[in-house]
Amino acid sequence: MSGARRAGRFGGIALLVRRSLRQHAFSTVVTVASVALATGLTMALFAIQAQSEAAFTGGATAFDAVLGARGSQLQLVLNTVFHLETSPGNLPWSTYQAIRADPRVAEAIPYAVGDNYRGYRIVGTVAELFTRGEASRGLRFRMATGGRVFDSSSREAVVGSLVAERLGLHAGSTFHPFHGVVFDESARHDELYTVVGVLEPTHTPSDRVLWIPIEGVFRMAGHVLRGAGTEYQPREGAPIPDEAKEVSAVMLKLRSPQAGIALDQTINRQGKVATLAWPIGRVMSELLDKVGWMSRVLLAVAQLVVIVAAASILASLYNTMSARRRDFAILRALGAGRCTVLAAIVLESTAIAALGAVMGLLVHAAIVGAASALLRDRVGVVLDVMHVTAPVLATPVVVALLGAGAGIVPALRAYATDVASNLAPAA
Amino acid sequence: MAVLEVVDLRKGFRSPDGAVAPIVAVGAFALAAGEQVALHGGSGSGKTTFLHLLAGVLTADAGRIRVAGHDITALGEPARDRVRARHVGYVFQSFNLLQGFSALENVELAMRFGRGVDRPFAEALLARVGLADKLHHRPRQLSIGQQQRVAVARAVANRPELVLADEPTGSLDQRSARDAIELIRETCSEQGAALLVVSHDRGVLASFDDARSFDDLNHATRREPAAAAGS
Repeated sequence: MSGARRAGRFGGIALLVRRSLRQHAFSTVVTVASVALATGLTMALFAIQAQSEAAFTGGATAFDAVLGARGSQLQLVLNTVFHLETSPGNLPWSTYQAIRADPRVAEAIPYAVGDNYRGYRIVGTVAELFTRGEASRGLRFRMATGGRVFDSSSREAVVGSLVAERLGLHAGSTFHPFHGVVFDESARHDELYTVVGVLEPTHTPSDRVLWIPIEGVFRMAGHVLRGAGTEYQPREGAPIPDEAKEVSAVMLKLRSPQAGIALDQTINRQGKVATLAWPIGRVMSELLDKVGWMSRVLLAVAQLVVIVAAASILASLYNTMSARRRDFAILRALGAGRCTVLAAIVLESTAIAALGAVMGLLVHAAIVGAASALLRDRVGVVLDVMHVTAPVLATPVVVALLGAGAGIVPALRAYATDVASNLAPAA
Repeated sequence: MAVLEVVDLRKGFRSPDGAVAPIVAVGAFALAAGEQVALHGGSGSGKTTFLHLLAGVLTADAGRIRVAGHDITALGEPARDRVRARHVGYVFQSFNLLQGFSALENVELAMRFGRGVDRPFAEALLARVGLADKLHHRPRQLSIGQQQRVAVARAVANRPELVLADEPTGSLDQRSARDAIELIRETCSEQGAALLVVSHDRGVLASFDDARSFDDLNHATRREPAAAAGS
């Protein structure tokens, strides 16, 4: 009997909450929306922070190190792994041959950069990149059906999935390279390249690249080779002497971490001509550490927004309390206890916050989806949108608890409503 | 057995200057099961305060009130709330209903705090007061008289032993008032509830066999001139 009555009372409270939310529909919608935005924003910032860190420090490449001209390791990594920035300079072909022959090096792939097609970068390299290399750890490059790797001595290209999708390229398409890394209509090279293969999406910056044989970069009209210290202009049909050739960088897979330590010692500390960026993840995480305070500030702002949203629940409920005094008095006259009235208000604010938190999941999905698409477009790294971390999960729970807390102040006002004086006929 | 017994009830309000002004001082008052009594008195006579005390909404300074066998003057607030929910129906002058709720929901909400929801009974009560076709109307969509009828149905929803009505016809015209008072009286006798109406409306009082003056019952107001002279 008493259990049934308790159930009845709870049903009464739930009904009161539902009716009140409906009665104050406008305020409910506005408050729920502001809670949803705050929740979604906070969740998205947590998720983007964690995911972009993972994507920038780990997922972008399968190489361990980059060997390039003397200069900044960060510039080298940005240029060769993320295909951003400019190349710090070139290395003679002999350096590539030497590192390739080094027993500590498992794999060495040369890159020659400096051209683009409609803003997407062209990288000259060797066919081994596709036959032996990986796009990211454990993920081999795979050619979409009907494609093949370029022939090293032909004007052929293999293009990344994003370039193919954006520019409508497919096996058989042709294009002229443009000089420089920024698209300039007037800087067109005369050579015509034919696409022979489109790569499957790798979700790495490689998706934004057009790959051609490195020989093609050497022979591009207007390119001058200075590998030998003097300028050399390749001639049609004649082989290029090795000492004239240059590379922008050499991508390395090392046999062991000890190899990395040893190479770092010889190249960076004792050497004067080249820079070894190793390990690639460390170079990127140093950058992220430097700009990390920014995302921490953003996160703090988002958390403040959550508190503001909780405060808006408090304010919107508190403002209705005077208007609802008579309702509370009627409820009390019907036999509802003070605690029932108190519980109804706390439940109402909790319901608003919980609804907002649930809608926040949608906001979160929308923000992360948009950020992910933008990042994929601009940088090529792909965020793992479905990956859920503890702070992301905790956010809606904390929001619901804050909502419950926000209900306490107006609820105490309802609790204190004097029945007798509020039963008098309203003027 | 009496459903309501009042013995030596006293209630006063503290005025801003600190003096306690007596409002209610009733030596003895009782209602037998199913009995219907009207009390009349002018405004400020303390009759509303008297009803609030009987309903347990206000606490007495002294004296005893027994409602359906429960001495509510000995009970704490939560227990008084439960006695009110189970044993007392209340009809106010106007604006009795919760705005967000339909007629049926207003009746059922009272049941939730009392004996539990009994939808067929709630519908039967609303049909009894002539609102069978307005179960799902909101208060806004009902006339004042219709709202008052919902309040009557709600007052007996928990099959209370006692119904208290405070100027139940105060917002109605004369004809509606007569109809309303008839409806309250009939409904209470059908449901076996004793009825105590306070009103200053002579027309209302005329329909009761037992209409008493609250001023005769309440010693506080009779002493008021003396108290005023003394202060």
